[in-house]
Amino acid sequence: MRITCPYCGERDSEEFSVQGEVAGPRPRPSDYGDADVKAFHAYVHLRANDFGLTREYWYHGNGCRRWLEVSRDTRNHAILGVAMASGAGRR
Amino acid sequence: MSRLAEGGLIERRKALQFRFDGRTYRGFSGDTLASALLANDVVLVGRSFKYHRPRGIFTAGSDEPNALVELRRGARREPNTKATTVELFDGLEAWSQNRFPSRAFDLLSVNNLLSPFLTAGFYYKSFMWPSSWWEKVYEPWIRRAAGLGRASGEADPDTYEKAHAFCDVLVAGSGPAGLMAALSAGRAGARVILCEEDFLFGGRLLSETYAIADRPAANWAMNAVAELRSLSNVRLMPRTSLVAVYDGNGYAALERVGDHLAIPASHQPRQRLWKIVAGRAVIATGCHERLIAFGGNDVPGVMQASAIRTFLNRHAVVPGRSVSLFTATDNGWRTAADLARAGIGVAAVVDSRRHVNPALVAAARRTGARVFLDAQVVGVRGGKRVRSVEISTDGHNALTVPCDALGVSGGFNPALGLTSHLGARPRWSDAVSAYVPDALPPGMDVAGAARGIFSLSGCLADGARAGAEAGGRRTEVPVAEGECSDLEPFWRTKRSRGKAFVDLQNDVTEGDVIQAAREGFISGEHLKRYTTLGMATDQGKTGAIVGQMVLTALTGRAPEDVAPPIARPPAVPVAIGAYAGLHRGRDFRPTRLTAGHAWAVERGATFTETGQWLRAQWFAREGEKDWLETVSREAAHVRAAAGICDVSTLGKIDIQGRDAGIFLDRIYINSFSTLPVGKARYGVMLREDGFVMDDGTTSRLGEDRYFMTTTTANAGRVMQHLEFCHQVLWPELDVQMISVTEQWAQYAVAGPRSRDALRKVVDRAFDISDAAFPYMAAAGITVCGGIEARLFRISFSGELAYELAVPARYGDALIRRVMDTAADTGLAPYGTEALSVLRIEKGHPAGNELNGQTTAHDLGLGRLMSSKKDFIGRVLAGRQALTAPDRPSLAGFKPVERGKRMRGGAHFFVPGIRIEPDHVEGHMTSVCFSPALGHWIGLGLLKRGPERIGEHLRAYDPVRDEDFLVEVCSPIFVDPEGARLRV
Amino acid sequence: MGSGSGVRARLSARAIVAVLARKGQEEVLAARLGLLDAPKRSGRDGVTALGIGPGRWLLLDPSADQLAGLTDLASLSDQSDGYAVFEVWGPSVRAALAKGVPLDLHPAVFTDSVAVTVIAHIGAIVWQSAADRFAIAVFRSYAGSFWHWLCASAAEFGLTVEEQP
Repeated sequence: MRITCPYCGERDSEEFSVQGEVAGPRPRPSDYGDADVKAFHAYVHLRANDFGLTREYWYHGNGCRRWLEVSRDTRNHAILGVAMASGAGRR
Repeated sequence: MSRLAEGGLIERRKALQFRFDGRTYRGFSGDTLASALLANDVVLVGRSFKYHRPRGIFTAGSDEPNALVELRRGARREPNTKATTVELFDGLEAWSQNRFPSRAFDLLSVNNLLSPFLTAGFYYKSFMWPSSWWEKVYEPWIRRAAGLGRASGEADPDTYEKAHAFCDVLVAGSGPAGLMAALSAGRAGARVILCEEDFLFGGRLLSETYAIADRPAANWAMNAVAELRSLSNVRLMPRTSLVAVYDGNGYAALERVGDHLAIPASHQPRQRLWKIVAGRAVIATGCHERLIAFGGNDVPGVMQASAIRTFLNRHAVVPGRSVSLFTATDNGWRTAADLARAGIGVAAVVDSRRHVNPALVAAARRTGARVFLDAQVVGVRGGKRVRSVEISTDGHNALTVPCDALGVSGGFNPALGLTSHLGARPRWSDAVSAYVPDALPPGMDVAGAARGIFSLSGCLADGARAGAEAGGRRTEVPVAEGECSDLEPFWRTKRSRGKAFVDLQNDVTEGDVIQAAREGFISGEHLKRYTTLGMATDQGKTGAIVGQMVLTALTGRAPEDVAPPIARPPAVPVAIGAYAGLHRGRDFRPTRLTAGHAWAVERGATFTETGQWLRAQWFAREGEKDWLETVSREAAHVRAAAGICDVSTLGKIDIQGRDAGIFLDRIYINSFSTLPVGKARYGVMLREDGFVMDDGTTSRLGEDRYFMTTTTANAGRVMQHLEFCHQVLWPELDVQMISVTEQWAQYAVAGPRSRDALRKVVDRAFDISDAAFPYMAAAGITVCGGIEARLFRISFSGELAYELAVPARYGDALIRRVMDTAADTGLAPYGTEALSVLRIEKGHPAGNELNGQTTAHDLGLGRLMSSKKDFIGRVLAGRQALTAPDRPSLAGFKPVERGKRMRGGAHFFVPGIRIEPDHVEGHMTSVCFSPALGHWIGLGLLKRGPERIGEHLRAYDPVRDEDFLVEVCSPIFVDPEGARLRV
Repeated sequence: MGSGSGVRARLSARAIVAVLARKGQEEVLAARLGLLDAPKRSGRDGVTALGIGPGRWLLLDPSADQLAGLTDLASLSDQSDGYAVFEVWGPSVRAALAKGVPLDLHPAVFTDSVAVTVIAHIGAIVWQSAADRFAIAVFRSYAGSFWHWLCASAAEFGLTVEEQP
């Protein structure tokens, strides 16, 4: 698989590691009680795992060290877009 | 000899000797093992898989089902090699397979007589009872009877390589379509790679007598290749098969660099696996001629009509003195014509079609051949070689025609495996009675016979088209003369006499297909698995479709109703070594060495792998009887005097920026924005799910600058985590970070005399007394007369200790200088094992405790968790399950009988309670022999551990069969007050 | 080694300083030092800058003057000891490098480019130090493993090792 890094250009997927579906934003805790636990549980553990279009975090660790957001079709592995994940998990 | 006196693409001046089954033969450069065997009248080359029937050479290429041999001897012996693709070299040695004791006299051919019992599903049905017989009787017998060749059983002595290539247009196959595609793209200046699995370029053209542009086809091909070779933008890769197609225009190709040599040339690999990225790919891999299911279609001497032409025209080898042909295509007639032109007798041409081009018929008749239209071969006579064929025109009566070879042409299967590697399925084409490519992966095109275009002129034109569409320019298509290429599908003879095979390698007969259908296996996939049709090393390229069509007809379905064949990589066998390339044995992965490595080697260190790093594990001295004695001496020496240990492998991260402190507050469970400049602090970071991720010491070197250390194992993971947090979660923070692990060589100097030792190298301007440089101080200093360094007063051992970092180039010099100048302090090196002893004695958690399943509370670090800020993992660390009071928590352990040796991994049980999983109280994570205490000690995770000091538990270790009592104690075995740190 | 010298190599000692732009200062910093915020070789006044990530560069042999006064624009981190830099050239240099470098090094494609990538499982920074001459920086601890790969890959072409000038 080849991924076109917005900074480095097209590279082999060997240079990247996938971190799974984009989730977020990271919740803002209020009192660290049950409601916060519930929100963080969803943020950390729950994923749609759709068969089809998906957005994933990929880390270009053997390249520019940027976290990327890759839009991908899991049915045919087509990559539809790659963007810097800058602030993707920000509230 | 069956070699023609002249002609062919062989170099008659280069005679080669080779051995087959121990006998010596001669061939020529340009031969394959198959053509050389035929030239020496070796027609019987092996025995079949199941019935041990005599088998000969059926094809002239990589679709060969029969002629599998063991090639080479010793460690280089390779089983199941296709004789048809082995390029002959001087000294080649090969052996036939699957014969016992010899190929001509095979005891197990009795299987052939037992064959009524060896039908489809035989193994499934027959070996069910008694089950105890399976291992001792059935399996060994089947393995002997049905095995293929033998692997060498020795380490592969050859080397392999991987390589990368990039091009605009990748062309696979150099037949008429491939050459035209390459010419069209190459002439336009595109970067072209042309892969050809053969050692000569030209594909089918090398085997044909047609004229192209008024020249013999092979000459035209050679001219085209010469032109391509003259273009600097074209790379020709002979002996290279495209083996896989990957997502994103990625392709793998196998180059057989040294397979045509007795041993690979020096500094050359045997095979090279190419990873090719191509803007466009043109698959021009041709087609495979199909067999027809008729009685005795496996007798040696029966072969593809096109293979006969290859042997005849390319290798100047005559497959027989009197040849018959059974054909459903014009291709069979072409073979007859070529044979006649070479002066070989053509006994009969049998065509299943009623209407055949009259010119072909007339030409065949002129050669004296008997011609049968609307006729079938129903049987072949002969055991080890064809003696005659039985021909029927009415389906009942048969006429016997003597001959010693039979060419067969049942139609063509486009070689479209590569088009389906990404899951695309071909479609059935009634026009050519074959599966042809349908949807293709992005960037891929198919040209010529691989696309179902079986005429030469069509292939030339289609190749030119594909090349132009791939970015080339329109190129003139040369005129091909004298061809006929009609066909009408024909699968099986109705009333065969004898076994009619649909899969020659796996010995699947038409009868097996009929039986499978009768038993309900009517899906193509079920048929394949029940009968093994198409599952052999040739992947059923010549016959599987015939079996599938027999099933289709039996079940009253149309070909398009059947799941078409798709293939997985690799398209041809690839040595495992080629996938590994350089990376095997000690090169399996790279090795990282610290700056002080050479010094440690000189000191006789024993090394251990920590990830990719090699670290000194201990430094044995003469007279020490084992590692335990060495390690105990090293650890005790640190507590008594001073030791030095290379800790360069710890992850080191330079963190700068106005918001660096805030950033670290959000990363660590404890606070770092409040850390004064010039101080170090121990920090713990969690994953967002609340479990501990890593720990380490982070120092503040300036208002906006911190120096973080991580464990060796987690260095990369932590860096990745920090970058995620900064880039994805908090890009608004002004913080910059970069790994400086490699910039600094770092040594721990520990022990009561460590300050004295350091004073020998620290420049006088820097006061490192306890008052000026107390516990947890951190500073930039100079050593050895002006060399920049960093000094940290931190301790993993519980002793007065420092870590001293210098730029890595001085790492080697520094340790030599310290060891030299501080000899009077007793400074001695210690390795990772003593490091571990010292930390266990102090109850510091390390890798075994930071196992991804422990919380800060579990490790006794809960008090560090700030309640004044949000940090990664805080919320989920507060989950009920992670704060449950009976979670296994860190405790110390010692054997009740002090002489016992404890083991990591032992499980804790309350004495008197039954040993079962539900009753486990925890487990021992780390153990060592403590020289300070004089007995074994351990750290472990125990339910409510800290509350159970003094309790006796069973340490149960079924793996090592140990079971004895241990006493729960504080995890801090030495100096619980920490007095030794602050001196 | 082979009879010819298809590949030549030497170890190159360079002062290397990582320059990481402070938040929002990427453009000012780039203008000050003549940097391109791209995977390219750039720089002026004798300093070579390698773009290794957005707002991140490695400066080769920078002068003290050039680094002075950057405090509010960039975080600086000395990496001179962190890398071993190999220079390789010769008629077969591309063929040898192709055995591990997953990049298109064609002269028309890889010109003033800088690539952070992985060679034989070793993280590496690759750039052209001159026409048909490649520089490859790997972390210091990997130098031995990298050298082993380079020797194995260049052996068939003949490898000559040159002393540092």
